[in-house]
Amino acid sequence: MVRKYDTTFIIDGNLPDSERQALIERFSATVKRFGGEVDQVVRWGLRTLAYPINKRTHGYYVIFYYTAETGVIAQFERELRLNENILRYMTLVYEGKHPEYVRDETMPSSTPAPEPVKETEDEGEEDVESADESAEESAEENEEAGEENAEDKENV
Amino acid sequence: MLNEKRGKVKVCKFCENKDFDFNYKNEKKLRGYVTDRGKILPRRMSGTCAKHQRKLTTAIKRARYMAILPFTAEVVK
Repeated sequence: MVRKYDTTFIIDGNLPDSERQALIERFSATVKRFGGEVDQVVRWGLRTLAYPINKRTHGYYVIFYYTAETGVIAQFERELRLNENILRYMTLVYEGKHPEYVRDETMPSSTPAPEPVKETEDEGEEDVESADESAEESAEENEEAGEENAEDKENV
Repeated sequence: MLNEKRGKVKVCKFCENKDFDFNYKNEKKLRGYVTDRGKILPRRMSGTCAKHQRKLTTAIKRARYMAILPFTAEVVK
């Protein structure tokens, strides 16, 4: 039965751009070779993995939307499984629309920077500031304590 | 509606907002339904109905496999 499918796979994040590009082209050729038709390739981009896979901490997420016979999936997944640079893959029946929060990193987007990156940066700055403040406070306390000690000695 | 023992009766958020997308790639939204340890929030806490809790659970489990959400996470002390 011909259906639309959504296969997402994770390429090793340490792989150079050129090799990654070659891999994506190879897989799209694979789908075509077995009689499928690639509708859209979305490069979600480099993400930090929630947990390390094969000692890799980063992965490059790629989504293939394609129309094919059921048997094509088995062939395609076999190629993915045999390739050492593919950390994970998942095939689902396409649900009818591409989620807007998954942006293709190669496409120019209307919104300038992806939000998750911003948030983490902000949090980092806040942490640093609060750490500075607490450091200053403790330093002041130490000074005061030092002065008191000095006074005590004078009194003695 | 109030129940003396159980307090306020929660209504399933997904039943109210029908066009929620149960996609495992939706990290931001799914993050709201796991604890800081990475566990799936039980229905008694989130107030989700059984039907939507099932969908949510599959989405979270798929996200875990694809390393979008953690299986477990250490609590930062």
